Order: sequence, then C-alpha cells, then structure tokens
Amino acid sequence: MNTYDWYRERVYKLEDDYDPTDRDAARSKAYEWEERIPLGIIYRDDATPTYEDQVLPLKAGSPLASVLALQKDPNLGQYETLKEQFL
Amino acid sequence: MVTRVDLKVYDSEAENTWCAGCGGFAILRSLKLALAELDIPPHEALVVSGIGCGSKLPDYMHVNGYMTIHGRPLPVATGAKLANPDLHVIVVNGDGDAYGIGGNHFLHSCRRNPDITHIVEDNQIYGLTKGQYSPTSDKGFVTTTSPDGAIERSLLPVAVGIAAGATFIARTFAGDPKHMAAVIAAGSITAATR
Repeated sequence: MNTYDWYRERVYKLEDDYDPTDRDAARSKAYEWEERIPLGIIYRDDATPTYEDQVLPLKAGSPLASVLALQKDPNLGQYETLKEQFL
Repeated sequence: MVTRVDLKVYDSEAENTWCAGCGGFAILRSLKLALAELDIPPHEALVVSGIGCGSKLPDYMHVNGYMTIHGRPLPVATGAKLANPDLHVIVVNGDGDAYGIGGNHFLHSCRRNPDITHIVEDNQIYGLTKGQYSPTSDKGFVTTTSPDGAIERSLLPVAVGIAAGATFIARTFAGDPKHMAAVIAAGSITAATR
C-alpha cells in the first residue's frame, strides 16, 4: 500500500546544489523511484517560449476581449442583417 | 509563506466527499496557499479537471472551475488560455486521468508548452472506482484488477515529461503541504513570468 508512511520512508528533498537546468542531471533524477524518491524542482527550462507567445493572432490582443468588444459594437446589427442575407 | 489574499476567499460551500485522510485535502489547501501567495483573486483563476476523486477539486474551490470529460482537461485548459491569456489556468487531475485516459494530451501539452500549471495528484491507483491499478501503480501492486500483482511496469512521469519537452517539472508530497504550496507557486511563477 502506498500510504503516507510508504512515501515518508522514501522521499528526500533535492540538495541545495542540485541544478534543475541541467537536463542530464534531471534525466538521472527522473529514474529515481521506489527506493528513494526526490522532491522539489527536478527540471526547468526557462529558454523555451510558451505556446501563446508563438501564436501570432494573440499578438493583436486577447480573443475574449475582442469578442466582448464586438458585442458592444453598434455595427453589430449590420452584421446580423448581412448574415441573414448571405447565410 | 506570507499570504496577501485571505485564504477564505477560495473556500467553496460544496460538501467535500473525499475520504478522511485523503491527500486531496493537502493538495487543495496548498493550491489555495499558492494562489494567495501569488496574489491571484478567485475571478482571475480557472481550475480545470477531468474525472476521478482528484478531479472533484474544482467543486471545493471558489474560483472559475471546469470539470471536463475523462482525460481531457489539458486541451480544454489550453483553449481557455488561448481565448483569455490573462487567466491563470491550472489543471488538476489524478494519475489515471493524466497518464492513462489523457496520456496523449499529456505528451502533446508538454511539447506544446502552454502557460498553464498542471498538478497531477498521483496516488498510483484509481480511487473513485474503488481501486484498480493505474499507469503509475508499481509492478506487483495488488489491486482489485490485479489480484496477483500488476504485470506492467509503472510509468515514470518525470522521465516522460522531460522527453516530451515539458519546461517545469517538480515533485512534492501531500504529507508536506508547506513544500507543496511552495512548489505549486514556483511552477506558476515560472509560467507567468517567462
């Protein structure tokens, strides 16, 4: 049974000199399980950009904000008329 | 840990149905502590979950919440983040939902690297359905569906995460809520400031 006691006997906190930006060190820690289980930040890569940073349309602003703005747009009625005409 | 937001703002009125002693309570409290530490008010946070005991968590917090279908919180959370990049998006699910049913989404979310925090409550078993072995159950683990011990070797999620391209990977323990809150906050800060 993987109880609190089971974990307590095995877990340890990563040493202060452990460098999570070292991928080889992280790979080695990633395989530690059962006998000793490391706790803490095992791996970090601060250089890779996020997905949102690379989605070009987001550079124009939040899609939610533009939808909310569109709902308040006085020309929205015109859009509805056009939609009825063409769809 | 010094908190700026009163923790009570995250309290929900829903009746908690977790078993006494469940690690979920520590995870719930740690998540509240981390949000308070980061000064994130309830309306700026979205917690997305799947199905399972751990996935009941959004019910127990007064923040925006979305319980999706089994294994699917990561793509839903990614969509929410794309629609409203200012939202602090947190995914909470168990080992079955994250690595079993949603294993495909886990792989591709790691390499996609959306700015969301994914907390996997890994108890190495399917708890809600009364104890079947999960992707992280150790070989030989005796459960209702493996009376002679699980035959498969267990998944090593940290190794998979590194190989798939995740950019922040940490492990913490429900028996140490202070450590857990610090780790959740560190993971969320990394994402928010990158």
